Amino acid sequence: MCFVVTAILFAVGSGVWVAAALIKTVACSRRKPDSAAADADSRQSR
Amino acid sequence: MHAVLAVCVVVGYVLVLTFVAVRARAAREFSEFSLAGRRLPLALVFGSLCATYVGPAFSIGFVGKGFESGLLFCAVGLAYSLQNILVGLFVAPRLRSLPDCHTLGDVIGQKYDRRCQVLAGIISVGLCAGFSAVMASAGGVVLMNVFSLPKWSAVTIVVAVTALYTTFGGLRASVVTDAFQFAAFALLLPATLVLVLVFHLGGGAAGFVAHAGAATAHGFGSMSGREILGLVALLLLGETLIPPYANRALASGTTRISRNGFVLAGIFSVMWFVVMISLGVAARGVIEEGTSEDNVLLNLVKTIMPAEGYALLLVVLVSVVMSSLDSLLNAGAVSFAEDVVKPFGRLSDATKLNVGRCATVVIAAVAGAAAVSVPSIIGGLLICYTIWAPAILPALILGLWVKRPRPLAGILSMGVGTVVAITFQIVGTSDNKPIIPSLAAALVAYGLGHWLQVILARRAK
Repeated sequence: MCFVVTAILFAVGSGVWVAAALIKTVACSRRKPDSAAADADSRQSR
Repeated sequence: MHAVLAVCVVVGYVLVLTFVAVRARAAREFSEFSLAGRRLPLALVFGSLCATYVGPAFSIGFVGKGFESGLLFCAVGLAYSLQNILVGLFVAPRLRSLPDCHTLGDVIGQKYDRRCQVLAGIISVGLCAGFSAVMASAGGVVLMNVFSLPKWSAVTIVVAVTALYTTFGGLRASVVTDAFQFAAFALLLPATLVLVLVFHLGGGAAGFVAHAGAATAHGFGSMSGREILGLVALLLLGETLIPPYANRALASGTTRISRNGFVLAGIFSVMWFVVMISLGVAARGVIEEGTSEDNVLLNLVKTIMPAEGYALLLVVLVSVVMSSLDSLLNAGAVSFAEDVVKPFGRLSDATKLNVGRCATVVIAAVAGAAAVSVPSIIGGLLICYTIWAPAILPALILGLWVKRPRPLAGILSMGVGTVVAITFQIVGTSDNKPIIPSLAAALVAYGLGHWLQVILARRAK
């Protein structure tokens, strides 16, 4: 029974961890190309 | 009213999934389509691996097995977990460290020669189409229950939605939606177990242990030692490094992420099997005894939850199926472009990307057409497992470890392994052991090819 509880906690914890990573990835996915372009611009101007 | 609610929940889920896939951006280069730019972080590699291997068999199937055979299948499932951990420790980092590899065919091509790459590519594409047909069939069955549609149209919806985001977004969209789907079922199915254990199972912990003991004794009584060994062999080898897993090993940001992703996915599978088997064992105290294995999870949730809960479970099941299907479609398409088409001509990056996209659509169409005639989910998966392991594993693993792998050994091993495994399927034995003789035949053919080419090379000198 103790092992079942551990398994539930582990599965739920993994779900939360992956969900957090997903939110971070999706939130950053639009910003990255812009910042890359800005980097390229600043390099060019130098 | 309940049917309307179920339809709304499933449609809402598909809309959120599409939003996530669109935010993941369309792939603009082939390396983004095939390997997501080789920049995947640990959480996404781990979540995507878990979402890919947790298909209908490791969810609905394992709950049914827990109901019938108790902890027996938890022990059998450990073979699968061990396989993942071993691949993580010994194979995945080696794969990731190879330069310019998009597929398993590329790896085999680098170690042997171009002919071996093409053969590995053809086997990979065929197997991905086969696995996809089984997943499409399982998804069709779930949607049939929600919309009361004929099977062909339910299959078409599942395949079309999955193919849409996989075609445009490639591996990145597949991995990002996998993470979304993983989070959905890693939260909802354990929550269902908590609900059953706390509110519905009579007798508390002692009652659970009594049900587990009775079911496990029944499980060991109904299967011979030989059958159990056959299942252990299938779970240990049947799904080892199939193209979607290999793609995730190759797409990881570093060799360390590649190793840790597989090891963590192996540890997660132990926990997952415990949750699924426990759901099956707990169901013995809630639903009727004679329920068929495939209906245990559905009946359990129907009994203990209101209509909203049942609709949520359907969403989870659609997740389980689509997250496996998208990975298989992408892996098959990448393998077709990289291993079957590219060796015959110089292709620009844009052409390869277009070939990959077209191949996604074609494999999805073939899988959809074949899905209607898939007899059973487990039966279809077993056929794919028994062909994959002998066809590819000896050539791949030995190629990574042997100092100078010989092309003749690779060709003979893949050819003989495939032919023997398919022959066993056609001749048709009811037990699930042909994986072991087919694997032995492939290994003997490898040794023979290696030895022959060494002798020929000496004579040529």
